[in-house]
Parts: sequence; C-alpha cells; structure tokens
Amino acid sequence: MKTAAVKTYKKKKNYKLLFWLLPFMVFVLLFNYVPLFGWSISFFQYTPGSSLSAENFVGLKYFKQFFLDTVDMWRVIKNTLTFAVLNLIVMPLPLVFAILLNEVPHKGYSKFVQSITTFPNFISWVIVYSLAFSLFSTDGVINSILMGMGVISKPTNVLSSASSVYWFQTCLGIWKSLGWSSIVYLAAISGIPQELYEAASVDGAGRFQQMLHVTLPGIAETFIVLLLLSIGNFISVGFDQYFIFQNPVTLKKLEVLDLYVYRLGLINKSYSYSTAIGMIKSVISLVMIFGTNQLAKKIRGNTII
Amino acid sequence: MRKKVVSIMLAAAMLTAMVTGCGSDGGSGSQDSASGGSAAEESDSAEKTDEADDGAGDSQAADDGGAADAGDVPTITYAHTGKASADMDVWPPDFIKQMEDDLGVKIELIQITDEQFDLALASGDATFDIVNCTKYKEPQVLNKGMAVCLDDYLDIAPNIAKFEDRNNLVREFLSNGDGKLYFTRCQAGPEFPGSELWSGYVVRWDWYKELGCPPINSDEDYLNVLKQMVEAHPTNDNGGTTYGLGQYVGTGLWSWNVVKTYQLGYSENYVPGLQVNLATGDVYNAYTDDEASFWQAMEFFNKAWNMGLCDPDFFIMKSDDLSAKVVQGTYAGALRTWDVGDYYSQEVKNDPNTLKGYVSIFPENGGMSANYASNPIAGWENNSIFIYSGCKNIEKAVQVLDYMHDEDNLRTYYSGFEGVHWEYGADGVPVLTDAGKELFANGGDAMAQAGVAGSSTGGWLNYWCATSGAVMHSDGSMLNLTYSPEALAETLNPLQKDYSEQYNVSYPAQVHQNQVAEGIAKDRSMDTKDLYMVLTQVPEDMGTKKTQIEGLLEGYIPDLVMAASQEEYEQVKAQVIEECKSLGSDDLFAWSKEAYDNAYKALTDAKSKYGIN
Repeated sequence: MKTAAVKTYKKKKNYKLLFWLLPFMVFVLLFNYVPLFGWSISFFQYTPGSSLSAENFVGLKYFKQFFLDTVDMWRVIKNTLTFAVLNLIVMPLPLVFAILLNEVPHKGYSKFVQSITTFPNFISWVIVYSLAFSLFSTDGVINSILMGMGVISKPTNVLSSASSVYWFQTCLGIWKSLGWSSIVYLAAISGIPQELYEAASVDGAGRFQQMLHVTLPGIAETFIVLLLLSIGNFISVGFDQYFIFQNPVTLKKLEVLDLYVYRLGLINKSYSYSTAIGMIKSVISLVMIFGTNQLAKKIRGNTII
Repeated sequence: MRKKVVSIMLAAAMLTAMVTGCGSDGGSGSQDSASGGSAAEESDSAEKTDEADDGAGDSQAADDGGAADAGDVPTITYAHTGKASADMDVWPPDFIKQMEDDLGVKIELIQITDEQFDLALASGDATFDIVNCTKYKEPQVLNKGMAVCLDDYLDIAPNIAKFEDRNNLVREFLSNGDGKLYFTRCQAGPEFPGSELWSGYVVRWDWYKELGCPPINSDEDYLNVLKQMVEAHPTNDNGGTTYGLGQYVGTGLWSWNVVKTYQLGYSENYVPGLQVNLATGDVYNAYTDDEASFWQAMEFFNKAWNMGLCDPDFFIMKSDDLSAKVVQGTYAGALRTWDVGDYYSQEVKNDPNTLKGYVSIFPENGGMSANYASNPIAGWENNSIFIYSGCKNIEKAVQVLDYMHDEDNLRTYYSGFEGVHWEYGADGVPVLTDAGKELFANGGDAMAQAGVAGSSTGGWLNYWCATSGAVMHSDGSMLNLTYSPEALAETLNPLQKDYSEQYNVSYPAQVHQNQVAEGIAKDRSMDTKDLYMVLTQVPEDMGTKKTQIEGLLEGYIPDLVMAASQEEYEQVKAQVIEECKSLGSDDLFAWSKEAYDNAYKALTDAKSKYGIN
C-alpha cells in the first residue's frame, strides 16, 4: 500500500517536471521541427513568393543533380572534407592549450593569456580579413618587417596564394577559436578532485606525469563529447570565413559546401536545390553522429546518446 | 498547493509568451522591425502630421472616409524593397511634408527585404499600400490579385494617364495578358551624364598634366602614359610604392567587365551569357567570343600586369582596402573614377585649388562609348510600382503615385522649391538661385531637410519618380536645373574647371558629348532597357549554367592576367573557353539569343502597334 502511494507520488512529481519542460518542448517544436516542413520545397520547382500547390512536383530531381554534378561538386566536397579533416586534426589544440594554461603557476598571467586568446572569438570575420590584409598584403606589416630585416627580397602574399589556402585558413581558425574552445576544458580541469593530484604526488609523479595521468584522463570524457559533436557537424565547416577570404586566386580552393549552396542556391535563386543539399547534409550529419556514438561505445563502453 | 498553482501559472505564462511572441500582429511586425526605426517614428511623425494637418489635409481626409489610421489623415505606406535606404532621422523632410499637405495624407516609409516581399507574395497579404517590386515578380503579383488596376482610377490620376507610351508598354507586357494597367515605373527618359564621366581612360590629372597631356587613343597609349606617370612618381604621398591601377574583388565578374562593357558600348546584362554591341546590334557570346567585354578586359589587364602597372594586391583587395590605398595617392590611374574619388575629396580639404584628382580621358579620334543617354520609355528595369489591392485608401494611394508623375512636383524634387532654390528669370527661363546652388553644391543637413534628389532623406524617391531629371518640363528646361550647361559650369570644382579649360569645354562630360555630336563616338542611346520588361525569368537550368561558368571564369582571372607571355595567355584562354563550352556556354548562348531575339521582336511589334518611336 505504501509502495503504491510512493509510486503515485513519484508519478505526479514526474508529470510536474514534464509540465515545466513543456514550454521548452514547444519552443523546440516550433523552431526546430516545424521549419522542417520547408524541406518539402526540395521536391518542387519552387519560385519564391509562390505557394507549393502552384509549383511543379519534380520528385528527386535536385537530389540527383547533387550526386550527378561532376563539374563543381567533387571540388566542393574535396574542399569541404579537407577543411573538415584539418579542423579535426587541430581539435586537440584547445585541450593542450588548456592543460598548459592550467600549469602556469602565476594565476594573473594565466588569466591574462586566457583573456587575450579568447578575445579573437568575438571579432567578426570581416574584421579578421581587414587585420589579415593589414598584416599579410604586399605592403603589409609582415612584408615591411621581413624586407626591412633583409629576410626576403620580394614581398610575399599569403592571401593571394592558392597553395597556402588550406593551412592559412586553418591557422586563422585556430587563432580565432583557441582561447574560446579551451574554456570548456579549463572548466573540466577545475572539476578534477585535488586529492587525485595529491595522491599522484605522493606516488612520486612529477608535474608532467600528473598532467598525463590525472589531468588528461580527467578531461578525456569532455574531449570525446566535443569530438562527437564536431563529427556531427563534420561537413558544416562554416561559411563566413570562406566567403570573406575568397578572391579569384583562392576561389577554387575556398569554395566549401555552404558557400556553394549560397552561390548556387541564393545567388542563382535555386532554393529547391539548396534545400536538397541542406537535407543531404543533415542526413550525413545524423549518420556520422550515430556512427561515432556507436564507435565510442565499442571503444569506451558507454555512449552519450 | 500554492507552489503548484504558482508553477502552473508560470509555465502557462511562458508558454503563452512564446506562442504569442511567434505570432503576427496582423502582419506588420516583421516589416516594422525592418523599417529601421519607422515604428518608432510612427508616433513622432503622427504628431508632426497632426500639426501639419491644420491646412489642406483636413477636408480631403474627411472626404476620403477611410481615415482609420492616424486621426483624420489617412496613412499611405510606401514599401521600399532593398534599394536605396532613407535617413529616417529627418522625417518627414520638406518635400514629403509638402506632398502630405497637398494630398492630405501621411506618408509612411518602410523598408522591406526581398524575402519579406516574397513572404507577402506567398500569402497574398501585405501591410503596405504601395510597393516597388523587382523584375520578374509582376506575374506573381497579378496571379495573386495583389495589384490594383490603375485604369479604373485614371480619371483621378491625370498625370499617370499622360504617360501613354509607357502605360501601353506596361499594359502589353506586365498585365499577364489582360491588357490592363497595374504598374507604373520610375525614371523614364534620358539618362544624364552629369558633369563628368566615369568610364574613359582614368588618369591622375596633375601627373598627366606634367606629361603634357599626351593623347590617349588606345589601351596601349593609356598603359604607356600610366607607366610614365609611375616612373616619374615612384612613391606616393606617404612614401609607399605607386602603381598604375588598383582593383577590388567581391563582385564576381562585374568589376572586371564593367569598364570594357561601357567603353565598347555593349549591353550590360539583358540576358545571361549574351552581349549586344548597342551601336551595331551585333550579338556576342559573353563567355567565349573574343569581342566580349570579358576577353577584351582580360587582354587589357594582362598587358597592364606585364608592364608592372597593377597593384600586386590586385586580386585580394575589397572595396575598402582599395579606398585605403587610394587616399594615400597610390595610383596613377583607375578603372573607374568612382574608385578614386576619395583622393580628391581628401586633398581639396588641404588645398581648395588642388589638381590632385582623377579625370576620364577619351580618345581624341573618338570611338569610345560612355555611360549615359540610355532612354527607356518604361523607365528603369527592376522597378515596377503597384498599389496593393488590400489598400484601405486606394484613391489616396493613386493620388500619391500620380503626385510623382506631375512635372511641377518632379521639378521640385529635382531642383528644390520654387522661389527658394530656383526661380523664373526675366526671360522666363528657370534658373537656380544662390540658395539653390548652395544647396546642391554643399548638400549636408540642409539638403537632408529639403528631402530633394540626391539627399539622404529623399534619394530613395528616385525609385518613385516617373521620369529622370533630364526630361524637359513644359517650360522648356530640364526638370533638374542643375543639369543645365550653365549650372554645371558654375558648380565645377577647380579640377574639373582645369580639365574643361584644357579641352575647351564647359564641363568635362561635354568632351564626349561633342564627339557624339560629331558622330565619332557613341553614347548609350541605343541601350534598349525596355527589353527587360519583355524578357522572361531565366530558367533554373540556364541560371545554373551561368553561375557555374561565371565561377569558372572568375577562378581563371589570375591565370589570365598574370600569364607571362602572349603564348601562355592564349593557352590559358583556349583552356578556359573549352571548359566554358563543357559547362554548356553554347547552350546558354542559344537560349539567351532566342530569348533576346523574341523579346526584341515583341518590343518592336508593340512599339509599332502603339506608334511609339
């Protein structure tokens, strides 16, 4: 009898909690699920301003177009994957940075470095381009200094170098996001019990060994979660950066999927095609996120989804 | 229990707030938010209108009967779709105030994006009364029944009715076949060159004078002159390196093509992939024919590059980066005068008589076209103005449209207020007063308050004016009195005066106008801009080809420009043309040619039908 009463109480409590959740569920429904009806335009030859009932149903035409586009698509996919892989390769950098920052004994200096490295995250890519132009253009600061020092005899220009596009853009991305991305790792590090460090110290572990055997395992879970999330967004490498930095020299290498969708979908007003590409991207992202989740389960024995 | 009630109420409040937050307040929310403060202006301007309403407005508004909006004065909301923006800090400016007084209305300006307009189209429901929509939208507007038939109101719109030729063309091509008038247009009539032209061989005047103003009759002459100027002035005002030419990117092929398009006298973009020589009527494949402006431009840039005249940052500068170099006096020449105008503006502050600035030089023997004198009967493409069928005060909206068709009102818009900014002389010829000359020379706050052409508050009305300022008023002078040779001569700056004296003309643009009069150069009077009204929307597959081909061409520009020899240039060119063809440039050209020919024939037939010359 008592057990039944407890169960009823718990059930009521659960309903109450669910009721609190309701506004947020409505929010998600309205802004994340209702817009999915917009996907339907990928099956029609849609003209902005018309209702779908007045448009021609074209079935999978735009999906076929995506897979059969041998002119641009492979180049665009190659660019996208290149940037995605590079982003994945440099993904541990914020983690390493956070660990190193945590080891700085002078807290004031540590905070200063953290602030300085976090600041670029709040600068728009338009400003970043202006800064890059001031630094790296032919008459820019870098060339002036290097030529003044006699290191180079002719100005060099990384902004108009097709061969430097991939690594240069990746470096810019790191510069912009390093400090910001390390915040979550710093938070994770602060959550590691101090006793573990003390125990390791008692066991004779030096600072490097403490870093390796206490700090790193302590934030590995966070890294895996972030890795999983980033793999879900693997092919969404972004738009702003590549849009701002593209020029006739770098155009062929900077055109990633999002930029291609913009050029063909919005400039050419092919909304149906761009929606189809968006759908394909979402499906690929879902497959990758669940695939990685399963992989994580096999390797680590637990999942986050 | 109390906690439970509170929690339920809070959750319900959050839910309500979210749902209502997503809803519409009758459809006005999104547009108001895009109006750059027009909502905030509403109460303010409503007060101002009430004050101004003491006069003529009362009786008319009362007669109108549809005064649901702001007291007794009906509000006419004009939606401006993504074109020139308006400074709403001074609202209403004097010109709008006069219109409000004359018509007994309150004018509200809202700025909406193309997407917001599309949304209105999709729903068939709008909150504006008058809107200026972009090309190809007209059939959808008519299909949705959103436009008021103006033929039913021509008895109260005598000025609109006067535009018979335009109205007939609009009835013919923008009525979905029912032959009725639903749209008006803006800026019909000749395009005036202004005091100077931007599309010749642009040189820095003081350096050019140092060389003795040698004639420039070809691209080679121009590049040689630039080279001599750079050699004579290897460093700029700040000690930096000088170059012959700078360029900015970010506009696709446009910034590369536009100069040659205008110098050669070609159409700009009737249909994708096709260019028309306006003088001869010859048609070119814009991507693969040697004569096309793209290839003419590439040849020019390649020569300039190999002569060491191009800024090494040629391919990476955005417009702002170029401007930053311009103000340092970095360039001996320019592709367009507007690229380098900031330099003179800066220098003249230090020395009012400076000659440090840029001018366009035209070949002495003629042969170069320039950017003026197109004369569309139906006005600017991309601007079809209609009254929304849901408008509560259609008659007032018609009167507002008609107001901007009246020659006296257009004179006021272009030249300022009679008796203040201009007046009739003893010979009956209208001339600018000193106040008018000062207003148009200095601009600034006074001009913003006036709200006339060229002001921050009234510039957007260009998209509402039925004609250009170069159209003749019935008094025998142009609507825009600043266009008269006398007024132009009086408003020249020292640089323009010096140029004019050198070439013995009243104002710089007259050099080219004289060549046209002599028959040795062409303007753009053969530019059949009315074709845009006839041409149909580009099919999606052709649009995709265009986008892909232009992307390809843009990516090859550096290879073409930096090709070290003629042989290398030809090799790259052959490869590019081959790739263009593999992307379907021939198919696109075939479609474009047919579309152009059909449109041209339809327009010619319509003109013949209505007796339009």
